[in-house]
Amino acid sequence: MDAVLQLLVSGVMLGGIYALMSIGLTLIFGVLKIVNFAHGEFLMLAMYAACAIVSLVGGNAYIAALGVMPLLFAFGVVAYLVTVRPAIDKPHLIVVFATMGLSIVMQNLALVLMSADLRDVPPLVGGTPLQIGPLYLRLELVLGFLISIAVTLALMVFLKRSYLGKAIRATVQDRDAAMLMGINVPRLFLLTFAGGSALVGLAGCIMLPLYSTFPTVGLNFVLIAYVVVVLGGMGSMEGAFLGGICIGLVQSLSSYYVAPAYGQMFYFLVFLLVMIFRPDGLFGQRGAAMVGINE
Amino acid sequence: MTLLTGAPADGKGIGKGISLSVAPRRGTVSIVEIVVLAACVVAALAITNRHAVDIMIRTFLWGGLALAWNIAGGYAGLISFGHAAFFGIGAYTSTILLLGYGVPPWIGLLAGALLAACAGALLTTVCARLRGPFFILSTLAAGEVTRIAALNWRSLTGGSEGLEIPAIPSAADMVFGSQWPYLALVLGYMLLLFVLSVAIERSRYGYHLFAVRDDEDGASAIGINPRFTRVSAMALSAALTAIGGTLFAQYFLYLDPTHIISPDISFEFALISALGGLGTAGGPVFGALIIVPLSELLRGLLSQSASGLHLVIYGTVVIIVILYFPSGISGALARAWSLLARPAGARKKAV
Repeated sequence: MDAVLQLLVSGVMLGGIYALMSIGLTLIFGVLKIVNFAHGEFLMLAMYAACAIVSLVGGNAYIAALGVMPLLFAFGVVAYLVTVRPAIDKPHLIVVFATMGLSIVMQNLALVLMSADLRDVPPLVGGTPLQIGPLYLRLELVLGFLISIAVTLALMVFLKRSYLGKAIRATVQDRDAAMLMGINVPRLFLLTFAGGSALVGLAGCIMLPLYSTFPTVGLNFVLIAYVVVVLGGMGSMEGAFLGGICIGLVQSLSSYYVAPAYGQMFYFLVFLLVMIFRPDGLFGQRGAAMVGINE
Repeated sequence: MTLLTGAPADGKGIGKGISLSVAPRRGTVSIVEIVVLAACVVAALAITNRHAVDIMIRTFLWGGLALAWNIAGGYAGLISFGHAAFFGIGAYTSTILLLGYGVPPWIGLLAGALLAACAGALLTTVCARLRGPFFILSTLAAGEVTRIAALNWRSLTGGSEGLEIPAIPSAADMVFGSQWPYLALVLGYMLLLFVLSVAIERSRYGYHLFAVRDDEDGASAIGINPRFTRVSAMALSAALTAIGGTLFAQYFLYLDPTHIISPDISFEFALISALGGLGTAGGPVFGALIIVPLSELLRGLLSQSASGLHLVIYGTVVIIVILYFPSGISGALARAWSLLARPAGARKKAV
C-alpha cells in the first residue's frame, strides 16, 4: 500500500515538473498556432545557463532563475525574429522545418562548445530525501511541483485579468477581430513567444538539480512536452497541468508494474489513444485537431 | 514552345510519352533532371574510389528514401516524422526472415514492404481526423512506440545489441563482396522511385493526391474519397521506405533500434525532401545529391577541429533555404529557368 502511495505521489510530483516544462510550449502553441520544434533545445540552453550561473556566481538553481529567465526571454525574441516571423503566415510546415533547423543548430553548437560531458549541480540539502509520513520525496521534486502549481495559477490569473492576458485570449479566439480592436497582433506574438521561452528558462532551472545537463538533454524531454501539450488541449493552461500529471502518473506506475523501459512507450500509447478518440485533447478547443489549427 | 513552358500534363497528355520541359514542373521531366540523373549513372560507372563509392551508395539510398517520403509528405501533404518506423520495419523484417528462417532478402523485402504498408495504412486510418501539427506529432509518437517496442522485444529484434548479418558474400542472400552490386541496387532503387514519382504526378491518382492535399472539401465534392487517397498514399510511401530499409540492412549488415528507428532518421527524410522541393519528383533527388555528400565532406573536414560543427552548418542551411526558398532547390531552379527562358521567348516572338 505504501508502495502504491509512493508511486502515486511521486508520479504527481513528476507530472508537475512535466507540466512546468510544457507550459511555455502550450502558450506558444495556443496563441501562435505553431509547434516550436526547438523547444527541447531552449530547455537545454536554460539548463546550461543555470549551470553556468551556479558554478560561476554561486547560489543555487532557484536563484539562478532570476538570470536565466530574462536571458531566455531575450533569446526567444531573437529566435522569433530569425526563424518564426518570416514563416508565420506561410503553411505550417515551413515553421516546422525552420524551428527544426534551429534545433539542429542549437544542439550541435552545444556539442561543439560544451562537449558531450554530463554536467550536474550539487543537490540542495546533501541529497537526503524528505520524509513525510511513509513517503520519501526529493526536496527538489517537491519544490518543483509547488513552483509548477504557482506558475500555472499565476498564468491563469494573468490571462484572465490583465490587459495583456485579455489581448492574448482575444487573439486566440479571432486573430482578425483582435487586430481590428486595436491589438498589435505581431507584437503580441513576439511577446508570447519570448514569454513562453522565459517559462522554459524557469523550467530549466527547476530541472537542473533533478537531471544531468548535456547537449541532447532536450530530446529526452521535448517529446514528453508535445504529449503533454496535445493531451491538455492546445493553449489550455489547466489542461497542460493535468496532462503533465497524467503523464507523470503513467510513467511512474508503468515503470513499477511493467518495466522502466516501457514507461516511455506507455505515454506515447496514451497520447495516440487520446489522438484517436479525443483528438482535441482532454481540455482543448473542439475541432482544433481536425483543421490543423493553422488553416 | 512546349519545350520552353513545359506543357502542364493535360488530359490528353496522360498516358502518352514522357513530355520534356526545361524547368522542373509537375508531371514533366525537365532537362535538368535528366542531366542530373544521367550524371549519377555516369558517376556510378566511372568512379571506383572506395570512399567515394560509399558516399554515392549513401546518397542514392537516401535519395530513394526521400522520394518515398515525398509521396506521403509532398504529394499527399501527410507530413510524417515517423517514417523511421517503416524504415525499421523493412530492415528488421527482411533481416529476421533471413537470420531466423533463411528467407532470402529479395523475398524478405517484399514481406517488409507489405508489413510497412499495413502499418502505414493503420496509422493513417486511426489518425484520419488529425491535421497539421496534430498529425505530425502523432506520427512522431508512433515512430517512438515502434522504436521502444523494437528495443524491448529482445527475442525478436535482439534488443539494443542489435542484429548482425554474417558477411558471407552470396547473391541469393543479397550480401556482396564488392561495392558495385550495392551501388547498382541503390541507384536502381532511386531511379525506380523517380520514375514512379513522375508517373504518379501524371496519373489520375496523382491529381487525386494534389486535390486532397490542397482542398479536401473541394476534392470530396468532385467525388474523390479523401480517406482512401490519404491511406493509400501513406501505405505506398511506407512500403517503398521499407524496401530502402532492407537495402540499408544488407549494405551495412548491422541493425539496432536506437540508430535505425530514431526520430533523426525520420527528420532526415523530411529535411532532404523539403530542401530539395516538396511535392516534386526532382526535389528529393536534388536534396539528397547536395546534402548527403556535403555533410559527409564537412564531417570529414571538420571532425578534427570540432565534431558537430558540420551539423551546425547543415541546420543553418535548412533555416535559410526553408524560409527564403520554401519551394526548395527544385523551385529555385524552376524560377531561375523561367527568368532565363522568358527573355529568350520574347526575343523569338519579336523575330
